[in-house]
Amino acid sequence: MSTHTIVLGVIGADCHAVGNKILEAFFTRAGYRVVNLGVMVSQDEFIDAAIETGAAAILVSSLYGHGEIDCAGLRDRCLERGLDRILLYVGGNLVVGKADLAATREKFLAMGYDRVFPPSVELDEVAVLLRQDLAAKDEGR
Amino acid sequence: MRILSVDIGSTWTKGALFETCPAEGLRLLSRAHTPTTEHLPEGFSRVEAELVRDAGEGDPPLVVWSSSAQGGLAVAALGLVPDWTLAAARAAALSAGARITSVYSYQLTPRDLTRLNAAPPDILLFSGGTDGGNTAFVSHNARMLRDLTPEAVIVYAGNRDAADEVAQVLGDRPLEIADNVLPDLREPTPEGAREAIRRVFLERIVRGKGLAELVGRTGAQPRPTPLAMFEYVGALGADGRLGRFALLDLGGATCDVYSHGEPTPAERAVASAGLPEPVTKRTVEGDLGMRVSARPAAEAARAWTERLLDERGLAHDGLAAWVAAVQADPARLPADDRERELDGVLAAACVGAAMARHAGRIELVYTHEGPTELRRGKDLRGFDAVVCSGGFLSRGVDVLPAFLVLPFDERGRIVCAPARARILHDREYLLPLLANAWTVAPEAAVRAGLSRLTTP
Repeated sequence: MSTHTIVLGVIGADCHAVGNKILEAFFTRAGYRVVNLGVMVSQDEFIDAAIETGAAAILVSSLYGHGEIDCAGLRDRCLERGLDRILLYVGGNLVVGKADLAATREKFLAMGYDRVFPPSVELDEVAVLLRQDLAAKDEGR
Repeated sequence: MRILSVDIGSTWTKGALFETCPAEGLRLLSRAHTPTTEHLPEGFSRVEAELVRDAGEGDPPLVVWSSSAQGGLAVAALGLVPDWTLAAARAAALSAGARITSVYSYQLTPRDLTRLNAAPPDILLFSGGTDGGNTAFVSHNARMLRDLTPEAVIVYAGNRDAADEVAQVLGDRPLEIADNVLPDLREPTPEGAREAIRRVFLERIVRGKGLAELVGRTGAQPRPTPLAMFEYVGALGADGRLGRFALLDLGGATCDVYSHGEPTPAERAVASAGLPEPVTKRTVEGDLGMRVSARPAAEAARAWTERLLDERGLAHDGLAAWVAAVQADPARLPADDRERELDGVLAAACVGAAMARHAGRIELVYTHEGPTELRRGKDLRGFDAVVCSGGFLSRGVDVLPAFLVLPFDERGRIVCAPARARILHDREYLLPLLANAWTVAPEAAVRAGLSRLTTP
């Protein structure tokens, strides 16, 4: 069992609450200390919560198509505010319409996210990746 | 049973003698007041002697008392992130009856220490990190605080994982360890810090301010006046008859605002950000007062004074002259109708501004589903009642219009002040004295308080 703390939330003016609740339940059962900020979360709220709780990762959701605008600059803001080693995951309907998944992934990786997920993803796969990434991060310390 | 209740304020020492009675809970037998004396027990004894003289024969009454004299309880708050542990530490200190003298977040710097030592607070409330959360900032700040003057007592109420280290680093100086004010982002727990602050108040501060003599003589321990009110507001609210309510206590130097109530299911459905709000909440405004703070109040509440003067057809320079007069002579009382009206405008402006600061904000956020509300802070718009206390409001100033002066703040957000509350007056200014009596006769003091509130 992991005792890492992770911060969850739906970014921007997005009020899709259902997937967020599913993520909270899933990662809690997976053994994480989950800090769920709910819907309509700003970049600074994610960062504030991560600093205060000593979180190892921030998992950002975006469902309403404005993800690109909302998510841009989060990595820089983390660095600026002293979170220089935090993992950033992002997932959901990140752009409007049926954009090419590979292009979207490229775009968000370039923004500084460590992992990018489409709307339909097996959460077990995400959990495996998260465990690996956190282990790698801990070793690097 | 008879209860003798005294409150030592910064200007007046006030007292009342009550007797328990089946009809109204507590019956007022007599009251007395005298200017607060340099040596606090002197004024206390004068009030006590007057009340006892009026009491006549019978068993000696139970003595209960509170004090906000000599500037009250000064607390500096230290947190990690301003919106989380610092906000939780501030709220905890205010609920303990404190006056916040300064706030610090993230890492303390040598410059911060110099500032703290130049005007030491009674207490430094030290928080940071949720339980299991950040410890690095707390470690750093604990080491910095080794240079804090021992006049200030440190109350540590941060991440419990760092409590042992804090005790080790700061163990040789005045230090209290309390429960974390924010063990989890969703659950502020101010109770432990409040209790620790109360303990420090009794053990160290009361002694320093010449109050130990009174503790010895009366056999009763005081509470800071705002803590007494805070607990009494909670008790009045628990009774249920007032519904959800706010209480304003406007004085010469400050304006205290208390609110009590939980959100309705409809209010709960609005998306919210920031710390969850406590059921009973206190804020205090040091720049909104009727005499000592008249000038800063007129400045800070200009939006309110201008609007209220226009509504009443009064000249703006008339108020400026009145403010200058009372600032110069804080004992000045209105002598005629015009001065009464100007004093009323100043009072309404103070409580309007104080309420706007106490109340939360709702901002409209545009989403794919259209405009959506996002709330921060406490929504008082649906509150049932506002209780006005303090000498300046007891003359029956109509305060509701003052809450409606500023429907939107400078950033265009909705100000969640009471919009349709019943206004009730504590016409005899007995609530602080009943708040003291509440400790020995809780049920009777609540009943007496409710029965004494009148509509204008």
